[in-house]
Amino acid sequence: MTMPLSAPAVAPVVAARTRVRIGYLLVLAAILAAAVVPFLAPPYVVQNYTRVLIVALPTVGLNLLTGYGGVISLGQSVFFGLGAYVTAILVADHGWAWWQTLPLAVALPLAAGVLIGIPSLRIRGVYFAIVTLVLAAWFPNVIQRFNETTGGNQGKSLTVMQAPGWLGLAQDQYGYLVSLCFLLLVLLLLRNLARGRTGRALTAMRDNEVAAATQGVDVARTKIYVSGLSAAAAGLGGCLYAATQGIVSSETAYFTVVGAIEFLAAMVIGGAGTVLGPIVGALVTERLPVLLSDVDPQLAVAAYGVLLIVVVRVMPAGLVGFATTLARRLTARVTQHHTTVNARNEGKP
Amino acid sequence: MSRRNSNRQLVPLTWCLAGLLLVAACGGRGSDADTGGVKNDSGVKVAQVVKKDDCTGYQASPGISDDEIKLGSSYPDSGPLASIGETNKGMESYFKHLNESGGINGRKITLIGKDDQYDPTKASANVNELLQKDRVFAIVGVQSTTGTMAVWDQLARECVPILESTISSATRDQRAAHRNAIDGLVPYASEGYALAGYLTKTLGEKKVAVITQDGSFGDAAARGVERAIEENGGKLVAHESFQVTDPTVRSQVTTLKASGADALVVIAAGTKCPQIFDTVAASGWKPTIATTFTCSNTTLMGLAKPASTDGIISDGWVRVRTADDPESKTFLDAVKKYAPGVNASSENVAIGWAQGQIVAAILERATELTRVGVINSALGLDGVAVPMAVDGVKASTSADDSAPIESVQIRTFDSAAGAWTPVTTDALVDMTGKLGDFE
Amino acid sequence: MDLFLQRLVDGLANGAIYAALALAIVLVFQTSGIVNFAQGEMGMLATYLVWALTDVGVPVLLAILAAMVVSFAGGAALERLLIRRIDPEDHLVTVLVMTGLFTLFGALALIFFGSDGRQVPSPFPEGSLALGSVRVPYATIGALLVLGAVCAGLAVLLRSTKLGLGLRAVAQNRASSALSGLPVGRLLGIGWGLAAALGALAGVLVTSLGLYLEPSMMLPVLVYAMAAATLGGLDSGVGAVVAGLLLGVAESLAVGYVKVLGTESALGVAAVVMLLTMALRPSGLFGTTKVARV
Repeated sequence: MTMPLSAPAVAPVVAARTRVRIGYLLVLAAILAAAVVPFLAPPYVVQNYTRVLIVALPTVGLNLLTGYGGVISLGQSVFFGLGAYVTAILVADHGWAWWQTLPLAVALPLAAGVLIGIPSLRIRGVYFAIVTLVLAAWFPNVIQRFNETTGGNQGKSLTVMQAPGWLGLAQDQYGYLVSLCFLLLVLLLLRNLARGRTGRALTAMRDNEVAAATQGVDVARTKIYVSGLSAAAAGLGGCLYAATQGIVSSETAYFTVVGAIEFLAAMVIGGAGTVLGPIVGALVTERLPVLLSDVDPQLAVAAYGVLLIVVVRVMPAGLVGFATTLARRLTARVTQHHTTVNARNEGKP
Repeated sequence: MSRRNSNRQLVPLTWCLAGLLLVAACGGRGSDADTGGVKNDSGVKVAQVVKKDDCTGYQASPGISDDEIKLGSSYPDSGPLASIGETNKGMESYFKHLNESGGINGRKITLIGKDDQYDPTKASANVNELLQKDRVFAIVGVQSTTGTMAVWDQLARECVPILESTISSATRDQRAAHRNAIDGLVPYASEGYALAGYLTKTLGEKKVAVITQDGSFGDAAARGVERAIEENGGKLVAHESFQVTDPTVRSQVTTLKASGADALVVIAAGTKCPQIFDTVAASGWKPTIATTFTCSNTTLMGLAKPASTDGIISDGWVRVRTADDPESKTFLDAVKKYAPGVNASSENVAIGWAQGQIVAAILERATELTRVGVINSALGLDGVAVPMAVDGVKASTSADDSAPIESVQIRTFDSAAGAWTPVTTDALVDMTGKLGDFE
Repeated sequence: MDLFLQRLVDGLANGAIYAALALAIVLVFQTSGIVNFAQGEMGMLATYLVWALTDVGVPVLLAILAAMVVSFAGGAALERLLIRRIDPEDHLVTVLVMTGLFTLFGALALIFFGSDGRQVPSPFPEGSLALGSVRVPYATIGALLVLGAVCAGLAVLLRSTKLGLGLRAVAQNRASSALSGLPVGRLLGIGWGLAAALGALAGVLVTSLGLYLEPSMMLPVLVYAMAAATLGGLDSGVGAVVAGLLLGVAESLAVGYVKVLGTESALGVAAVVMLLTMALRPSGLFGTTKVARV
């Protein structure tokens, strides 16, 4: 379709550019704000927000698998737990430094994710969700089964990560900043992935698998690939969890069905298929129950359930999707106003 | 176009990270200064096991003012294990009751509680918030071993007392490395030892079976059971375990019954207890049953059929509440007044009340109200009377013994009356200093 | 030999627990095409109603009947208010809404009833039939009979009545059912209502087979019930019951004889059973339609 370059046709382009710039600034401001938190807040607050950053990691992974790829998993807690136990066991019993455990804490969940990805080729949608839910329910028992190695329900304690001396940072500040850096790195990778070939393949696959296959997307490979990546992100989160919290146990909620549900809820509340959704979602699922708990502890869980249903019904693209639509409408109105004013001015003799 | 866009975003990100490091380099955080000690009039001189110089980032007396002692606690107040948190309602009632008569030398105790849903991560977050935001003096009544262990390394370094908190499955070495932590319950291994000892020694049972909840609680208690059976020439003929997630325990009970045991030790908690009692009764097997205090709540016992629970043996260190006992009356009145929504007949509430008395005794006996002073006071209990405890059960600790209560009273359940009665012979089992033997 | 027989009986009793809930899950699937994993929590809430009624002196059978009627209304209302707006083909939304309901119902039970266990009177006589040294509790026999009766009833309803045909048609294709003049909305409501009533019955069966009523009662059962429903075939009532009993017996024998497995592996067995069924025979042992598009 060709179109003469007239003022009205330029408007959407201008709007898009403004949007990009505004989005750009917002992201920058958010990163900066996140970076100064540990220098302004007391340690316990920093630790609380460290957990938000860490919970965002499995959520980012799940977003890739479910939000982009359409494979619904309720087993993300298993990979998070695997990563955490790799780090905890190697640090506590084999004298490794936490960062030395990183490759293994990511590789083992990755391998497990690939393994789980294989049945996902045949088992679809809600059925895959159920199988992974059972795996998530089983995982704490597995930890208990090998309690000689894992510490069982009493837990395994490890030394938490300490900042190198020259940084002059407290332990909580360092843990927070390290988690933030890893989260940004993963987000950046995911963003490139989502916008690249794999992302297009994923979206095509989610929307219509048969059509995607006919257009040359290797569905099997793509699914297994993202299943592994998703698990790897969760494993990274688990590694950071163990290294910053200092104890892992089969009673740790993140390793149970409760954790699996939290990760899924975080992804959906934040916005499935959006880049920033997992962070917003993690913020809500981590902090909202605590805030509500001060009102009535029982209420928090109920509100959680209601929120999940409401978000799904009212804003299917989550909070981030909702905000984006809102912002888009606003900027569209502003630029439209601009262009009409300009056009009017030009029209003057 | 998307590719170029994302690469362009790399630049500001890199900038941000660089900036981050810069801020980081100059942004350390100092710790608060030592606030000095507060003398306590009723102090008792004890050995100074922990010294101020052993502590890092030590703060002596935050949360202590001329008229207040602030304490903090983390316990399950919601979720399926909320009944465990009832303990803290009992403790809080005791503090409020104590405050009416002047508190600790004119200082009233304020207890700030936070819900952790039995999740160690939440327990740890709660404790940090209590220490940093609420500025509590000490942590009391953390109700899960893993929850306590999630913070005890850090708190041991900073010399923050963790009083009357659950560490009942901890080993002697673990306890020795954390002198700031004092057990709130009878160590599980000791309890198992007392129960199995009563079965094999006093009752003369020789073939004993045991069923345990999978996990550190069951493992620790089973160690005590094995030890007692061995000492008294009995034989452990079968040991089955179950998961909290197992819907029923039929298969386990069938196996235990087939072992031909004459006695059964039940180490369980929650509704698994009445389930086991009923399943055993329904199988037609009639062993002598002994069970841990975690099953002994009368509400829990009442869930099972009366025929399944009659004559079951258990133990306790908190006195059986009766109408004619003045301490019971004080307790019941106070709970009614300060925690009206709470089931006062719950064993947990009474335990919490007794734990509160031990905390108060530790504070009262400290020569100065500093954290180190209180830790040493907690390790220097020498047969201190606890009004709510069974007559004859005293709180004793030492540098190597962080469990104040190590003797229990053996009781049997009368299902018609729905109440426990102390047995007439060998009612008290004293295991002071034996904890190391059970490993 | 007696021990083996006893383990068999134990397994049947456990299996009846799984089968009861599996049957309700299957019924929802048959009538609406949705896998409802909040079904157990709904049944748990209904069981609280039974408990409350018997607590004020209502005879147990009457209380069960009342709870089933209330559950029917509740299930139909839930369908009208929420479920109807879900496209069963949109699996993500289905999973999320069910997860939300699951969390919400559990929390509601905790808010209203607390975490303490309660005893629900059993509709079956106490005691057991002694065959030699093997004990067969009357509750087990009763539960098996009820399950058999419900199974037969459902088969008749779904296969031989006009209502049943309508229910199944709607579950398979809402659009063409509407085009052929079926009252889709009312049929979906009836389907959910029936399943909720069955869920209430399942709750009572579960409590009469040795579990105590508490908010977390159904979570462990749900996992096995899901495994039974998939193994039997999500659209087969008979399949759910047979698979539930099979799982119960297999578990009882495994825990009894294969000590290496340990009780920690029980859930793993359920997971493996589900994985294998879904991967190798997605329609289950007794299912007729393919539940997973391959």
